[in-house]
Amino acid sequence: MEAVLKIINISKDFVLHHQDGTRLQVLDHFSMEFFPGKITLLNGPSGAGKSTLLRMIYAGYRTCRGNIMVKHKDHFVDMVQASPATIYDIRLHTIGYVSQFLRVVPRVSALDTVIEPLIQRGVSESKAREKGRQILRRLRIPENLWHLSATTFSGGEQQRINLARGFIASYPIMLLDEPTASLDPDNRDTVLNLIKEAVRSGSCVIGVFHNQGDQEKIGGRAVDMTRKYFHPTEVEH
Amino acid sequence: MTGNVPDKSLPLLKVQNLSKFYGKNMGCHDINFELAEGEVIGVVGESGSGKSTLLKCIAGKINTTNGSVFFNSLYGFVDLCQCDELLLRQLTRTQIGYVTQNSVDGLRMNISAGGNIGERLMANGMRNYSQIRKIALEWLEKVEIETNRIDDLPTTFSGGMQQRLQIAANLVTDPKIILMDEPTSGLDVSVQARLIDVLRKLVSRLRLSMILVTHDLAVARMLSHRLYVMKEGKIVESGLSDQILDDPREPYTQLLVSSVLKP
Amino acid sequence: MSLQYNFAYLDEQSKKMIRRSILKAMAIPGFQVPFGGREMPLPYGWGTGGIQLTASLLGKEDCLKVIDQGSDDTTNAVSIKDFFKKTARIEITENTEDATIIQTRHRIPETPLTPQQIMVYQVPIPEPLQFIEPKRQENAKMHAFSEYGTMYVKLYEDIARHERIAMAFDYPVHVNGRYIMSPSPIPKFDNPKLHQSCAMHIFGAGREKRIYAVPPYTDVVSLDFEDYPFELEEWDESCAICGSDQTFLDEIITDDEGTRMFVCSDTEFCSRVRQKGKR
Repeated sequence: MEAVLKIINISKDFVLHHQDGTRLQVLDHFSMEFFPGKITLLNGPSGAGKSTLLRMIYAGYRTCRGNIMVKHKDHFVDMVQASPATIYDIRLHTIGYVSQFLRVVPRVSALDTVIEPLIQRGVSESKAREKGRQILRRLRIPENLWHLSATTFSGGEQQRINLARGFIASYPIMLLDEPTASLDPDNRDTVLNLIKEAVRSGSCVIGVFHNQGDQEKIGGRAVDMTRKYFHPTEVEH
Repeated sequence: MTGNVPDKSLPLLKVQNLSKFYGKNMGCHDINFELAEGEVIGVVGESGSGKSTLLKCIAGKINTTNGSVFFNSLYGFVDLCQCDELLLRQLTRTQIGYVTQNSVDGLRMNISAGGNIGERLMANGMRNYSQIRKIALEWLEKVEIETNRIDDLPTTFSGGMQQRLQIAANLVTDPKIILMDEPTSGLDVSVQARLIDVLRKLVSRLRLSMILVTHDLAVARMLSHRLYVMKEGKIVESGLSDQILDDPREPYTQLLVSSVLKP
Repeated sequence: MSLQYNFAYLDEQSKKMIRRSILKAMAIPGFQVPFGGREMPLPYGWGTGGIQLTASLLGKEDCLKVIDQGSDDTTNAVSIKDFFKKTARIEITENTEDATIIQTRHRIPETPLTPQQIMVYQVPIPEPLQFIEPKRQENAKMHAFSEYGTMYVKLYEDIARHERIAMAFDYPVHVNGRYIMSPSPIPKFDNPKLHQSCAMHIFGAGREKRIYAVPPYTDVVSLDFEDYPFELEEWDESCAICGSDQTFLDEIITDDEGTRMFVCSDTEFCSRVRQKGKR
């Protein structure tokens, strides 16, 4: 099986110029390959670089050294070097990213927030809305909230809107940063099912889950981020 | 002139070694960047960092000291700093939109809202009143101004409405690029939110190419794909919006980002 | 003791300068030529521009007619005629056909003009773009680049407010397919008389120090929209005095009860028609 994502020798440090120039080395020569239809769990305590790795793959954080090769439309593209236009395209079609918190836009309805990725892909408004309604129903967002802005929603509701938005379109690679953190057990199971469905349909899922139970339910390979250094060959699964 | 089809392989706008000095004082210095079609670039920085000067240079509102602004116009690649005034004026009333911070500078205050929107259409040769009227009404709706205000003077509008009217008056000719200079500053927060929302919708629906100058990082994040951080007339850092705001590298950018209160 | 004035008041050097500006204005129809306007012995707004033009154009053989509001005997017309009677001792007439130079403030005579005649207009505001763009420098550029679209904003505003182009006077025209020109405060009724006119039309603005012209046989087109074409005002009435139904009529209130009557604004034409009728 060919990997869809190859991380080669990446390093990341943060220099805090206004805090005595502190340098935080978060990743040091990290390498790993990721495969379609497989799930990888990133484990480790806070500060181990789990979220940082996800953000680097998404190019939200810049990578100091190394390469992040993403299979995008049958070609490998290095996210570290890619042009902005390529990154926009990769984010639109290849890599999905569900963050810990929803970035709420005031005055935009929950439904419109959820269907945005489809609209951007050029899906018709009516089709997108139909899909949006399905996924909102599945995530148990009461119908009377759909036309409201998510600004006023509870933390759990906002997170489900965020997940609905992340899962409405399918991506070959999905990055999940604590997607189940603030969910009740029913919704948690729904989300885990969504993830499993994505994996079954061939997505490569990389996720951070703090809940031990969730990790067990999902299964997949677990990576201990505290180890910092991985040899590419040892992670062939 | 290379015919009527813009070359897609070229960027929409290419700013090269652009400098502007006011006497000995630097407005902006050695600015280089490119804007692709459908892309929104935010230029952030504090007051006096040269971001408005940069925008005015790009819009041809002020003469540059040095450098070029290549614009991939419908007439081919044109250096806005070198082209003759006739062409520049033609471009600025058709293919380039410019929204000013103070709507007084961008609107005709003694002309009705409809007249303000219609002006660019008439300037481009439209001579049919009913047609102009119809388009003006459509645009009022798009920027969420009640259509029964079409014959009112902008002086009777609130600040937010004036800005939305200014945006409509600029977008009505479907410009290839739109330049915005602090469109949200000076407005109440609630009014700002509506303006930003209108802008956001227009940007995604019309796939606008835009350069947005703002000191408001939240506005910048919401609207722009990429950000340029300016300080003392120079670009100190650039990258995708989330890169700049979530992973700022330069001391100045870190200061800028950490200075923002998050409610 | 009587003061000796130069012929037609202005000194010859000033006249020469003004004639040069007139020639330039004739060469570029509709273009406003700046000129070194002289101080005249009457206030701005009373026709200082027109008087300087007339003074520069007059020869000893000329016959002058002056009208104000279409009338030969209103204050402004009478005092301008007196002025030239005194300073040029030329022949003065009320008869349109006899005049070689006709100085006017608000009207073009109803009697058709001839190729031998020169119309001189007193212009208060020469810049037609001023309404839309008050900046002088910007006006100049708009003229230079033929950026006249914004001029239509004025028409648009009219239709938006009054459901028609309500401008009745000083209705802007496009001259020779190039410059947009203010025809001075003549009623739009008179605009078609400028189009392909065999006479010469010269406009002078004293305060603004501008001269512009429409040479003989020049296209003069009134601005309009495709769906709101230029239209002439029409009256249901005919002139109460002479019975003409083809002339520009003034409305006159004749008593305290508000009784109205419509009469020709061109008094000379009106009385001539009446004379003819009597004969």
